[in-house]
Amino acid sequence: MGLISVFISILAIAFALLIGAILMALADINPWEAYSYLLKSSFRNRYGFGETLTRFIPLLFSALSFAVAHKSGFFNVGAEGQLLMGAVGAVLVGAYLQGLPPVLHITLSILAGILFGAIWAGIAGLLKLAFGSNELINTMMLNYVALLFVEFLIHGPLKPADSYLYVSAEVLPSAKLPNIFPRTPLHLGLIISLVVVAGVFYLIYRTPLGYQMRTVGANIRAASYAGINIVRVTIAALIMTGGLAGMGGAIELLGAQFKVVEGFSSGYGYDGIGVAVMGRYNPVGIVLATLLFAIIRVGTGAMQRGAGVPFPLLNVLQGLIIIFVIASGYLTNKLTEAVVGGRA
Amino acid sequence: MPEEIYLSFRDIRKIFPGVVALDGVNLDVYRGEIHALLGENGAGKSTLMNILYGLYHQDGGEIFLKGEKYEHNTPKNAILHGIGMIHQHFMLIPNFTVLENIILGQTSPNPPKMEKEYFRKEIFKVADKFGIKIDLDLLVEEVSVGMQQKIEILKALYKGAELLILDEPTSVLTPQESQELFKMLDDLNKKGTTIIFISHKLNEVMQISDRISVLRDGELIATVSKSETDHHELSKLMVGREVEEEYQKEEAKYGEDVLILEKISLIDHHNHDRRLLKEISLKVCEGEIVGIAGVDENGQKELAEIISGLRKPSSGKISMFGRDVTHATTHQLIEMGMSYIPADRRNEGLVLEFSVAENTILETNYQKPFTKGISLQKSVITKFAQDLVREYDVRTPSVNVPVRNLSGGNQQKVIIGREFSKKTRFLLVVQPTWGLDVGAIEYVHHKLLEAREKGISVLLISTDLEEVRKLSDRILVIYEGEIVGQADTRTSVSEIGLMMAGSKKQTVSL
Repeated sequence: MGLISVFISILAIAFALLIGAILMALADINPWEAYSYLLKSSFRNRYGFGETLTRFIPLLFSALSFAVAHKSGFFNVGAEGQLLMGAVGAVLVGAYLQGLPPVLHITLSILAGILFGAIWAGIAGLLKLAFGSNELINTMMLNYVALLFVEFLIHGPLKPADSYLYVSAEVLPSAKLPNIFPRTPLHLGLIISLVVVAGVFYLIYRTPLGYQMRTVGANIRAASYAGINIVRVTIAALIMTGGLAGMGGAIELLGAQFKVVEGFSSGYGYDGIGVAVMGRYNPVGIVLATLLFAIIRVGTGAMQRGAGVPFPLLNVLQGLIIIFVIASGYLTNKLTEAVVGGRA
Repeated sequence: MPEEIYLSFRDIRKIFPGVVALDGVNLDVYRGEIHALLGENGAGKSTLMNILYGLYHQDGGEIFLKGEKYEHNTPKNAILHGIGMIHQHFMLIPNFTVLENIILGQTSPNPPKMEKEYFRKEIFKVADKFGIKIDLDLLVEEVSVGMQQKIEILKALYKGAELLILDEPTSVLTPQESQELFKMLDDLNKKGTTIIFISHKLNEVMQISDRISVLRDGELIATVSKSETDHHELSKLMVGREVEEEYQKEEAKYGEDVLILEKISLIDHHNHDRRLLKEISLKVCEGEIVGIAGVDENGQKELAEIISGLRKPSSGKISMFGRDVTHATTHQLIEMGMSYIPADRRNEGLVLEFSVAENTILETNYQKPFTKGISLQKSVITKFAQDLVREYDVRTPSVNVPVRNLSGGNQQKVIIGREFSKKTRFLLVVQPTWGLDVGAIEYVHHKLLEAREKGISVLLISTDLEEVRKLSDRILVIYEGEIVGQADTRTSVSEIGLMMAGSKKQTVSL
């Protein structure tokens, strides 16, 4: 079954690219040239490849964050804000705590990122638990709060006195993640992110807590009838979803950007939603979908510069791919039903 | 005298994904008869009628109405051809009056004015003709379920129905209301209305119909005249084998009190402080089945939620195994030995997306041997589920298929297996056989009696009076959130029925 669904997804992407090609042709752009830029930027040279994998990291964390929340019946569209807050937490520890050995410094900085992200998601979660308010709205609104809060910080409290740019202080060398692919920006965060994927899915599918989270997510009534403590499970899910997004922000800071700047995230949190949905919330799917998105992210720049594809059209292309892959999911389900047989 | 064929189905086939719902059904309905369609759930009775009414389309076969081929079956066309259908769930708007509901969708002769008075006269003519008495100015939400059904029937007649189809009409009624309905149908029939009556209840079918067609697994097994058949033959035709009428029950061995409710009340503060439960006191002891009978929505759901710890009572006290559990959580009660088979197996008892195996550990997932250290033990769980599937005869291709794919009976077996394989001392069971076929019903009933014999105390809440009478040692009747009567297996159905309708209150002693 797995193979068929991968095959259908690839077919769906091909269809989306085909429609994208037609649209480009209509706009008097040579689609083959444009697509060759898309692929070349990620695969033709070493730097592009490393760059793509670097983009892959924060995207993977935010996709995981959304997937975990989704599995637990919580709609967290606030990864963007949680990621920013995670970066804030990490920069506080990474830039201001001095004299620590690297391993400890990195660990503490990442933990601070997790903590900040979890708190940020926790605010929306507690509002939901206490007042039943809609987490979709709350997490979304908190994104703007986080964005503006970060702006405030880099215009004031966190701005180094000697800097004329609006940025935070840079993390200390002892908190920086080491490069793992010389002459590219790729850092240790890649390995960490892959370990975290494995860990998260182990937790979800192989531990009682994960089982209970999935039960609450799939059928909250059955969960309460079975005596599952819904408040406890929801809080655990919140800590995880916020913590993962926050961790993504921390690692992006410690490995790639080193400073919190305006536009630090540039939509990783939102793209993560599309990635998680496209990856059908399963580990392999999410990793593949993240890779695809990272390629597109890196490639669109080249398409714009090289082939003159207008930016809105690139957004359309990205949207087409998401829609087709999601729609193909339904197709796969129908096919499965037809082959295995429906309900008796 | 040869009967005039009013309606006939020829070789009707209907296929739903993966299931043949109707397989070459041939059926003739005579003008002016009451024709019952008898069969178990899923036999295809409703599907056949929904095809006639135009809610589905057949994949093969033809329908003839009054000798002519009836094509383009849509609800609108059905009404034009004098076919009226009363669904199990009424299609009425609660905050409209009876009159407004009946004329919904009708055009006034002088549009755009809505001439209620004109319609009122027209409806009166129809009601008069058929001898139906309904106050047209009442709001639908204020009238009883039985009355709502009458409104639906009047609505169909007003639209010119010569043929009335009733889909399981008594499932929402008390025994008394059912009798009233039968009398009404009888009157309509005498005035020339042809009636198709869908039911799985033998008594009703034997009481009201002229001829009976039995459907089983999408096939028409037989059409028989009432005068030439009996209960026994019908039940055999319906199920395809002999059925037990009464259960052999061992003499009850009552032990200690397990569950005691003292003056439990529940007030709904969100809804004008309505009293949902009123000073309910009861007790259940070891080795006993106490049945709570009543028409749906008289507080059974709330009572079950309170006993299982899902909801807290406004006042009163609950003890279980001698401990005060008024404020205990569901989790604590389960740990103490409560098992719960909830009314809605698809939404409360199971997680449909989960596999059969995953559903067997809903309550015990964190316990040994299912969890060791921090990890779920997949092989242990699979083995446990496989044993459970074998022991409780769950028909499933494997324990890894989603429980959604199982039939209702097999889903219920998964729940029963799960609940019975724990160390249960108190069993709360709500509507355990709702929507199941006869074979599965027998199975569930036997399991409940087995539990009783093992000394487990069982509280059975069900709207199926037959079920409550067959299984219970004592019967309590609930009406509008109050226990209004107590009965035992010797009390007659009609007497319990009166209590269920709230017209016979007696003082209840514990």
